Amino acid sequence: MTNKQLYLLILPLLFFTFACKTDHPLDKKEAVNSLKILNGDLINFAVNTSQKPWYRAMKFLLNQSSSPLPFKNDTSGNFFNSLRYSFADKKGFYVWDTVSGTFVKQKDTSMILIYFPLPGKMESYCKFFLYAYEMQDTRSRPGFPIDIRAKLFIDNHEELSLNHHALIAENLLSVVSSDLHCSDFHLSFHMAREGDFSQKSGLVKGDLQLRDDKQEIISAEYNIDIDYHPPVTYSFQYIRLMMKVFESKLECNINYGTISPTSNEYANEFNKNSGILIKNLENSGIIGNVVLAPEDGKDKLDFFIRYSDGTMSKLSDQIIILKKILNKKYS
Amino acid sequence: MKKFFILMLLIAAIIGTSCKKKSDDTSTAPTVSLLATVGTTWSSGTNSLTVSQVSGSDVIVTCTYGGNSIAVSGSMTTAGFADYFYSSGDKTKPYTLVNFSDPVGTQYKFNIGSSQVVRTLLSSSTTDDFYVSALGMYIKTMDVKEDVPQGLTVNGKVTKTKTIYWYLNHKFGVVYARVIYTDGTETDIPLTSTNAGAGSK
Repeated sequence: MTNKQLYLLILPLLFFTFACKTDHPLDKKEAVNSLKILNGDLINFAVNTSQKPWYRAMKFLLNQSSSPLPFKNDTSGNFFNSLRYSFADKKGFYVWDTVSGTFVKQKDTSMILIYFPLPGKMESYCKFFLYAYEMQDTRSRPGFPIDIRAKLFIDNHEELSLNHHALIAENLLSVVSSDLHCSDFHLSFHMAREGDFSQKSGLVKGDLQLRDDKQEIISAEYNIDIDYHPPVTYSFQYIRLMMKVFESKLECNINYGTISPTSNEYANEFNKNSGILIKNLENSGIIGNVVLAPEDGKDKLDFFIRYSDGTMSKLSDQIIILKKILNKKYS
Repeated sequence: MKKFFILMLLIAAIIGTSCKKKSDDTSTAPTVSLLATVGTTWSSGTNSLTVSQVSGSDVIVTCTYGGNSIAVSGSMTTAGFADYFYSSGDKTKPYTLVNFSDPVGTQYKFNIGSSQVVRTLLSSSTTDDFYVSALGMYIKTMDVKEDVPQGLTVNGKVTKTKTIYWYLNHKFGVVYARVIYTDGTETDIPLTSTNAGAGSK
């Protein structure tokens, strides 16, 4: 056999070996290890983020009952989680008073300006500017912010910048574009709705990216078929979501409209009408399928990961953040 | 008091005056309530609930509370009433609040992912034993307990509502509600005035 003939024989073999790296189910041990790595990466990211100065500053601002900002933690009961907020009434220059432990307004201004020491590092000083905040009511909920512009400076260095804009059409959220830049962190979110009340159905689509200065942490795209229910709102019919988190990927397809929420066989219906897969991108391995099932000995349903050998683990025991995403009510 | 007013008044808006228990009249199919009339209003203090649109047995109710105003959809017949709150308006997925002919202990369940809302019919009066000052009389009530699942997200945030007790009447709707929050606090929501169900009970 000549060298040329040998190459002609070997090359196709090499090509198919490397090109056809298709997804394959991981055995349970590999799958559990993959989830542990993902969980560890998420926890590390959360812990590191919580220690950032900008995070500590914002957490402090939003946890103070005397803070003049919207979205602060509200300890009072409210089913709709919404207290009417007036930016115009709150405009002013505020300073943290260490004696009273509250923000005290010093004078009126054209925006909200807040001065306070950085928690845990009193020698560092923070300045938060809320340049603009505007809400618009929608038909089915009290209101949605359509314009937010804000910045945070620590020791006169810009640490955080937020630009958020949204459009309301037919009293429904139509477009959202949000950008949050922190010193070493960037989060962007976009959403657009297609169709209107004159049509039976439409589409909601969007994307989200989260990255730090080293890597992309989360990227997601979603595409949701919706049915309109004039004149109030719309409901989800078919949900498609692809989300990459570090080196894992969630592929989610749910035929939501066909699932009866009052069915006695709800879990079976949900599983029959959905395909939720978690993959390991590094080795093209399928970690498992996410399914709904009753917890042992209980009536309550929860999300589980079903491995290639048919056994299951509770999702919240493996990855906390995925459970929160799957449980999120969209309204 | 105003904090849970919106749901209470929504349910009040979808109750009919012509309700009859199924067991009392098997020859009559369920009909649309007379309360499903544009302009029917319920009030609790300065907050209000007004039927703003009607289409057959479906109603849209404009709810005004604490300066906010939103629209919620529901449906009602003489057999009972339901809402489309948890289904975001999808009329193929009504959630029963009560069916008048159901026995005490009946549960109505609504699933959202792994969360489940449960409404339980706790009791059904056989005598006029519940006084409503807005009506100036004692009436019968059917009492429903709604257990809101922990972690349920409403309006983009995890709700702090844990349990709602509904006090319902077949003619006047919800005449009282009590809301218990996850921190243990409670809010009572009485009906203070209404033009619904005027006349005999």
